[in-house]
Amino acid sequence: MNILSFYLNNFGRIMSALEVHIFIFLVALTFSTVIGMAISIFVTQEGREKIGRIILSVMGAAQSVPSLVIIALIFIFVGIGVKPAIIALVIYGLVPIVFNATSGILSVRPNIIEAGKGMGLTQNQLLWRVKIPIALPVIMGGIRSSSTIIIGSATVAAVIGGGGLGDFIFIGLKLQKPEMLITGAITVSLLAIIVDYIMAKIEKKVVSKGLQIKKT
Amino acid sequence: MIELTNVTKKFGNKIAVNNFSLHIEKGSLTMFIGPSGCGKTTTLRMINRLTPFDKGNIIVNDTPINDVNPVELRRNIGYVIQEIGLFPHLTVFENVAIVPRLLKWEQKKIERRIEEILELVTLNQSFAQKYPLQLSGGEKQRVGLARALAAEPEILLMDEPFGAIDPINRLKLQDSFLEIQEEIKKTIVFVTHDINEAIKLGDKIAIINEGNLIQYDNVSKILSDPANEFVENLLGQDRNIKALSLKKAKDYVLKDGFITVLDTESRESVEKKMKEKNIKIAFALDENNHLKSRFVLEKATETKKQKFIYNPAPWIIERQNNINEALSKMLEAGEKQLPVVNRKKEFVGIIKLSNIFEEVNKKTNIS
Amino acid sequence: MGFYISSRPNIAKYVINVASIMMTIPSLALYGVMVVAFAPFKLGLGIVPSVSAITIYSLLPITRNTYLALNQVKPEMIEAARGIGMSKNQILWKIKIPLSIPVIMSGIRIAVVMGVSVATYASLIAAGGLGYFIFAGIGRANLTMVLVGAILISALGIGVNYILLKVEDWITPKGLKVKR
Repeated sequence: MNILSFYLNNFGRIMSALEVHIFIFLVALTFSTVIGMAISIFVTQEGREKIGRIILSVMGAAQSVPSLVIIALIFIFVGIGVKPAIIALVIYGLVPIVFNATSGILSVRPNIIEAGKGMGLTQNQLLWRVKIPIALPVIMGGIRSSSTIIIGSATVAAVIGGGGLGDFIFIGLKLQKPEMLITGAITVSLLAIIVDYIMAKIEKKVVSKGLQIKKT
Repeated sequence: MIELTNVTKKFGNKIAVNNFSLHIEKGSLTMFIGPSGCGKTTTLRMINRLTPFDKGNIIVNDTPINDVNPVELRRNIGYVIQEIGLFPHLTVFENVAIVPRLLKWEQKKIERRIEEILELVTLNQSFAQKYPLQLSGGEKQRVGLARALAAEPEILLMDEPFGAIDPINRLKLQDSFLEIQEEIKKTIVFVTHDINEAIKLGDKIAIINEGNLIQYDNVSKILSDPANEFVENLLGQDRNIKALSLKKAKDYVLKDGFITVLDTESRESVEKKMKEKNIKIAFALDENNHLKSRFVLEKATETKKQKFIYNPAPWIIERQNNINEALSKMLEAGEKQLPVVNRKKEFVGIIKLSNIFEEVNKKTNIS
Repeated sequence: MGFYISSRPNIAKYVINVASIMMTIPSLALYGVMVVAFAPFKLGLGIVPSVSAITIYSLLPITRNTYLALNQVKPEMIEAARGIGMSKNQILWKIKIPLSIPVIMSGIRIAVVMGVSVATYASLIAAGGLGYFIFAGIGRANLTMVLVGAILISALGIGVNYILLKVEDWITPKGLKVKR
């Protein structure tokens, strides 16, 4: 009951925090995706496969660094506020995208690339018409986990003034106000689940049907 | 026309192709054969510049290939590989349409072409919207061939295209491939490690070992006159029998001695026709010329004649079967004559055991 | 849990779905919920809620990966094992588990890494840990303190991940590692 009345009494505040949260998420995801794809495309070009493999192991290690660390480092080098928070999230959100896109593109079977080359596709055509569409399920998986991670880390980014729903959790913890804490936690969880659901739908839509059928 | 002159290729210190010269005529099917690692695939890949060569010159259609942009060059040379490499995210239609689209053909023209090419490789039009994962190995290979032929290249390079197909389907694919080539008359270079495939398909065979061209000649010449022991071993003990396999069923097809009727015709009318023309065998076809059944008039007693139905006709010879295959089918069926069909399963005529025996006798007399 | 549900496809579907959804929930949010859930027992602060939150969170990837790993073992292999007279138990221990080790281990690795990450929040409810340096450092604008915390935590995360990778490498059957 406490929670419900808190929700109703603070509806406006919650909604504006939710808006901030979604805004931060969208901006960070867009940047992460664009930068992440650019990096992946760069390191997977022919002749750079070695760099690609190095990036893969670096990203593998980076995935084991807690988000709080990145947020802390950004705090040290950039400061406090929404912008530093977004920078931290972009960097953290990059990791799964680069990891998945790079490994996805590198694992396109060599005979497919050979066939494409043999037919006279240029490097660019090979990338955009063959490699990326075939790697798309893996790439979309990366973007999907990136969005989960960004939403989650955005709550933590509240400590450096990122705002959003994380405020409710931190303040709730500090002031020993369970209803506030729970409100923040539930709202952000719902956001994460809904976004993940939407991303799953998008994934299904953009990935070629030919890659989704099971072998008979 | 493809002309290789003193072409050499090294991988590190290892010589993969050594001072290789070869002239491939327009419209001929040339087989490259040799043990694995002999340089046959490397040579093939040099023709469309997938592998650069170190020395020498390769000329395709009067132009040195190093003067042509490799992307342009490849769009005019069809390329089929063993693993096929169909793009799994595209439908059969889209796969086949790739090069025509790169060449900026009109959509209408592309659609027409794909209909035509699927027909050529005997794939039902409904395949156009399927995805590669839904196809069997043989179907994939047909699509691979269709894709390579889509933009009507003059030259086709094939790297062990049937190598991963099971033996029975491989024979079928070879038969229909030969018929397709009869129709399209492309200049084809075909790499294989299977001597039987080389003999069955090739107009000419280039035998390659350790980067060197050992012998390059017509198939019959190679069989009758192997250049050295290496070639002899490659051909095997039974090269006389293999020579027999150069003769194809299509060369013995008879167009008379039987009549054809529609499979909807009544038995009485068929029987009447047969008696009128004094012919003992009739084949019933449907509107697509597909063989449905067979009627044979046989003497049951001295005076009375009777007929019987044979449906569906189980023993059929394909035009591209060699006479070894035709002979064994006849022996298995216990028949003196069998119907012959083409790759579209259309009835083309009959073949008689007696004619095959004549050929066998000739052969054995020669060798 | 993974083992249990792997032979019960009906339950498995639900468990996996729930686990997948739970994994999308931000760790801080789940953590907050844990704290509140334990509050009535006067355990709201300190070690207990931290440990339970981490345990629950870690369960998810382990369960999910174990299940997926055991199910991806090709039916023909199980058929072959049955064909040579192996019992159900033998199939599990001698065939399924060895073949699944890479995936199971990566589930454990994800769990541990997430655990390290979630543990940084523990300092918020006075359970201590390295997170303290960061949160307190940010609160007091003490950059050195934050930096020390950040370095220590990432060293822990990367280090643990590395060790587990080695363990994974060590217990994975050689035949699965051979590159063609």
